[in-house]
Amino acid sequence: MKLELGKIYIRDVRFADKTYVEEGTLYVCKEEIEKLVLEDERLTEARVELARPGESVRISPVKDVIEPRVKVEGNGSVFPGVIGKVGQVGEGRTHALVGAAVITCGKIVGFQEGVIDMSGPAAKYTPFSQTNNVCVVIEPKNGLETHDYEAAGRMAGLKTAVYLAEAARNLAPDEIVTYETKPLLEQIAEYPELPKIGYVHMLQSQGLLHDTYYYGVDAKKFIPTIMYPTEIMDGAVVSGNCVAPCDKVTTYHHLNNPVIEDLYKHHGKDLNFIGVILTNENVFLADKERHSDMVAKLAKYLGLDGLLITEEGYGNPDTDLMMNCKKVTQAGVKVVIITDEFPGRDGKSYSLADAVPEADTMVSCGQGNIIIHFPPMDRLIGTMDYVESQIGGYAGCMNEDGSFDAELQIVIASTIANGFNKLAARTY
Amino acid sequence: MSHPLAGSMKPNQTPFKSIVLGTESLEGANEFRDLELIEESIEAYYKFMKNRPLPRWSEKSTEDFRIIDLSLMESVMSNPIMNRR
Repeated sequence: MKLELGKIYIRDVRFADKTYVEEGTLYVCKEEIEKLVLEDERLTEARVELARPGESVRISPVKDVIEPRVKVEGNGSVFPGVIGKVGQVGEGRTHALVGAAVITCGKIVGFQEGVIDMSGPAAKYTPFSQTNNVCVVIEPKNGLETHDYEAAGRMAGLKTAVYLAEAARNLAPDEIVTYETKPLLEQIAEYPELPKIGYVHMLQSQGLLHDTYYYGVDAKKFIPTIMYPTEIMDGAVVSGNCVAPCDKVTTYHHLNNPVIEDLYKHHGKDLNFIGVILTNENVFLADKERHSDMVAKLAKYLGLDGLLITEEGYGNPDTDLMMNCKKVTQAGVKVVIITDEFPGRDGKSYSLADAVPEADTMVSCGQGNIIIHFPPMDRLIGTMDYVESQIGGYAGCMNEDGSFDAELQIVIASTIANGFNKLAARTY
Repeated sequence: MSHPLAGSMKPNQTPFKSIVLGTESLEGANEFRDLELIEESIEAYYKFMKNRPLPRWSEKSTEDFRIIDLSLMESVMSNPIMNRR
């Protein structure tokens, strides 16, 4: 599959009577978005607010973050099986509003976390302090069941992203990047001297608020499969995950998967990027056994020399990570793990919940237990209830001026286990 | 049968964690594997509790934790292999 990604750079976002892009500014018609989101009867309120880099704004709690993208040439449409029809994607040309993001805010469960500070010391821990954000704050109808509220929130974000992306359809991109992966034998033949490298992308799949969708299929219901790396750029993978913000892989992160991005940069130079194996992180131990066997089987079947593996979450997924690592290594394929850690405040406890001797090569994305300071912000988008409910408890202590200290793990994507962020670990 | 650390809520955050136990491994794992899993999970629990104890949650939050715990278990219990006779 060959995909051209046309990037339209957005440097500012403003409200206007209609939605369009001009000279790097995204003009947003909030009434149209509010109307679009409220087509879903499960929601009673939808408020659109803007947040720009450097502003004294705090956004919380965050449900998902999505980059607006639209398919301009080629089969299918973005977010297939969820918003778009299920037709296959990953080829042709897609336009993206780079530097813009849709953020959905809504307290789906009482203990929900997920903070984005657009300025101050906590801003650097999340990539969304640098994007121009169109925030959609939603309220459910009375007594709405949690599964329904999650689904409604998910759809609200994706619909808004698709609506905004239409503004990019007929624009000439500022930059076009071409990504290409050929069918297996052709791909191997293209760079016969280079090591054949694959990427195992583990998708969160444990249950309510812990789900991911591939072409609209709930990841806990599928078995390991192969994906062309370009399919993810068209939104083939969508996030329904909403807990543990620090290692949440937002839909934005799926669209901009950094491992895929970097593998393509090296493709044809020092490695031959063969493709992606998708798998899940089910709670049922028998599923883990079955799926790690299949991952190792696919890795060997594709003739890989080595692979990178990333997970989403902590605890239960660490077992899948280790089982995949062990079996793939035993099948003769080298493995490098990329993940985040929870070694406790003093950094001395085991970082992961599981380990195997084969897991000897690892890249760390930082740890979520350190405490950081969140100064007061002038404006809040969303609600601060969650911090109040945890005073003296989980997250930290809220001071009168609105500032608080809390573990890094409440910042969205701060220690994301696919390496998107800038944290790491060093040994001395 | 199910992972003791299922769910992204850390052990010192959620008051509920259901685990499904059986007398026989469905995937032929040896007993030692399960013992290790349980021991490592207990260790993880203590590590988090040492950082910060369980908060006094509101009724709404407690109810939400129940709903999520149930959902995680449903994905295990609905598996056909669990219900064969």
